[in-house]
Amino acid sequence: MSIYNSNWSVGYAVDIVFVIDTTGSMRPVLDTVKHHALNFNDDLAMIMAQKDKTIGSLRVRVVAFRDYLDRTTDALRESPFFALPAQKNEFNNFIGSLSPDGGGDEPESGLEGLAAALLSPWETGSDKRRHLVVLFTDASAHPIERAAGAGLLPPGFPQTFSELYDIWEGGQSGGMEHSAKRLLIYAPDCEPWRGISDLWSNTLHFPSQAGNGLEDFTFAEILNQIASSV
Amino acid sequence: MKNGELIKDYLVLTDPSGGAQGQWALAQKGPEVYFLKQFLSPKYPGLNGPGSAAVREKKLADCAQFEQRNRHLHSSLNSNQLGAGNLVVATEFFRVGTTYYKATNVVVGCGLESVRNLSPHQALVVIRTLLLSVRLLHKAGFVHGDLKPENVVIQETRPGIFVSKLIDFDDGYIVGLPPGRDQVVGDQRFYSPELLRYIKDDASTTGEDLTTASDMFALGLLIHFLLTDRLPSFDRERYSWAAEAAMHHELEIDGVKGPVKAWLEMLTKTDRHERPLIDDLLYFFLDFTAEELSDCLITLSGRKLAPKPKMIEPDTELPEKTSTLKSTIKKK
Repeated sequence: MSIYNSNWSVGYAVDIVFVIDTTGSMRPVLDTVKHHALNFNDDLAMIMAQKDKTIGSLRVRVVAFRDYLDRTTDALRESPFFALPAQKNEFNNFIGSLSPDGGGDEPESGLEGLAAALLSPWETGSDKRRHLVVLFTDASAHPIERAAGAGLLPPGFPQTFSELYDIWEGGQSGGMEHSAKRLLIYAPDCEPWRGISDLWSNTLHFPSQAGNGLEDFTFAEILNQIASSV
Repeated sequence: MKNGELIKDYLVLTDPSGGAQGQWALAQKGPEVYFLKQFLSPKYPGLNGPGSAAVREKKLADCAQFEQRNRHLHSSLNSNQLGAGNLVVATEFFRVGTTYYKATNVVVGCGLESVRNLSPHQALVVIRTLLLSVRLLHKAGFVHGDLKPENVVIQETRPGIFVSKLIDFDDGYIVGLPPGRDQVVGDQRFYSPELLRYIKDDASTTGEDLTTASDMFALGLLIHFLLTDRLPSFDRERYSWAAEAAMHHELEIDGVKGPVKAWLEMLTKTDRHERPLIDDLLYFFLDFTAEELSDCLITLSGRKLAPKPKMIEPDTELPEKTSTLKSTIKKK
């Protein structure tokens, strides 16, 4: 590459995976996400501009989880990555198709949802990357060993909490880079979220009140935190 | 980190805020209030924590390197050194459980991002104190790596007396030993050409090319910004960043004239070996008078000089003048 190469712009690729608890009590946050999905790219770009930041390319993906131990059939639902703004309608349609339902009593399958997010096909090109997972739940989570022990998890999923930790810290998920990754957890101040925020690097936990569907947080606050993390 | 939490001897007084690298809050220790930063990475692995032995070993190595770097920085820069009062260094670096923290003195700015509305006398003091801080880092063998207006806090220490406080060199690095190409932190507006080439994985550039000269390029842009409230001009249709324009020799130092313009042109040379050292630049500005600076400010022409305030001069001995660059430039 010559030093007089015509294009020295530094590409910045941002992948965001929203991990959303879609059990019955999560209607408030789900309604909020639905309301803002269509304009998410524009809203994020605006708040990024206020912080003197720009994104070269943005992709978003959704992992919706309920409870493997309550009902296996709809315990996990995953979208592909949507490139924004080009695929904003597809993103909006997927979000729109999610409905708060089931889950039984807590805990839920938040760790399985998190595992699905970490195993995403992350962007590996571009000069700089950010791999961001944003998890929303108003409940504690089952130990991942329970669903794994019952043989309920998809192939390739971690079978223990230790394996899940290794994926995050060791970068064994095939593309999630140590320096690029960030995890934002909007969840009650209970396990496993409290422990994850203490043990896992590059992780922030925003404690909420259990069982209220994350009504403690406004979309603007969440968007601002996402912008600060990319 | 939570409001009200006691972390070591620090009582957190505010809700934390921050970004991708860490969280900040005001915290009280004894009678004093500090900025307390919580690092998001690395996290120290507990003996009975989760994860494989291999991951634990890797994390321990990361933590050892992180601690060594911070302790070296902490011990290299102390308040007894020239200009150290304006370089906002950690008062304490420590770990509690899994998590690392750093305390610094609270720096409250006066709200100015540039010195454009200050008198030339006042502007000179702001620039001199900035250069003294950068000099301190460079003499300790560190590259700040993120020189930009947001990291230069202009503070009115007494009525009419303004100094700059240099903050946030957590992402700095030892000369020639930057982080990996995709891990370098910084602001693209103030990238040097060699930093841009390094990030773009250009074969001609390695980590060894990232030296204090990279900071000097950023300083050229930053001083232009401080004096004029804007970066030097370049064709924004063709180039995204000043470094890119500089590599095509199309960066125009157009907000100032005379000797200041000549110095900023030297600082923004594409070839890092052609840029002045911090001592050269510092001595130029130490010898420069407010009247001379006023003559160099295109955008401030016609402005009356404010009454000369009391100057804050370095209160300890200055380094030996070793460069001939100053006289070379002043003759231009």
